[in-house]
Amino acid sequence: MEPLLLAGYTALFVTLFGYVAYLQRRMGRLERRLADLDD
Amino acid sequence: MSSDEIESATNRASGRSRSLRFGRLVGRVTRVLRAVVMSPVVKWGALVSGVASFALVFGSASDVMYGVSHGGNLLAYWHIALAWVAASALGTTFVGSALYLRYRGPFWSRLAHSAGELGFLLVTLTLLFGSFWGKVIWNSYWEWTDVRLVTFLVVWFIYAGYLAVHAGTDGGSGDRYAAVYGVLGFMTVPISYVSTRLWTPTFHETTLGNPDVSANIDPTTLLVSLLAASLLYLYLLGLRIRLHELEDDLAARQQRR
Repeated sequence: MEPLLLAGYTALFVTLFGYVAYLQRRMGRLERRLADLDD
Repeated sequence: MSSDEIESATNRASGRSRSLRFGRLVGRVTRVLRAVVMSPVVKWGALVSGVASFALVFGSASDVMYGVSHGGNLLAYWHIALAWVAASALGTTFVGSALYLRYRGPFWSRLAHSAGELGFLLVTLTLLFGSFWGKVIWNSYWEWTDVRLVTFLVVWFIYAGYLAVHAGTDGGSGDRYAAVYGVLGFMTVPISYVSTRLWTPTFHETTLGNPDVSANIDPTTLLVSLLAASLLYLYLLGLRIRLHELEDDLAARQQRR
């Protein structure tokens, strides 16, 4: 595979999966804090 | 009461009634939009169309474009798709900001900021993909003489500024500043889009509706990639809006305690 092609699509996957993981981690943390307030 | 005063009062009442009806319509649109971006159909649709897009890009699409045969040309499909969703995201920021300034609903502020953050990310990826593809097709990562590249970089800076304004101001008045910025900053997006028609392009030739340019881009692969990128954008937008809702919910509960 061409290095530029590999670099481009790797950057796309890393960025998007990284962003989703970041959002879900923050959401998990907020949901736990909200659950603690409910208790 | 004179007839002029009666007429003026009637007009005011009619205006209020229209505004109320429009407000209700906006409320319904808000609920529908929220349901759409958070729907599991969007999530699974993004996954299925994404897999289909990569199968087409790496399986059947031709790597000959503009007369150049190179594997790197396959970057074009997602470069175009990313540019499309980036423009949609920045358009969403514009609409969300304008509606926030008019109606002040928290949904519009959340929508505008979520789309702005995503738009910045997508513009960054578009520039990266474009730069890599440019190396293949123009033998250069960047050309300062090309109007599309430079105007798109301006868009990137404008939305970096939007995120800085949003992050650097508090809620309420800060949301208003960000909304004004979101409305004004959007002007750079259509300028970037029409730049190749307004000024003489050095590299980015106008492809759509130009019979002299044949990019040899497979329409099926491009359409599936556009669909996948659009659904992915909606999925990410739903996640980001949900995060805003949780943050606001937590802040409101902590204030009540």
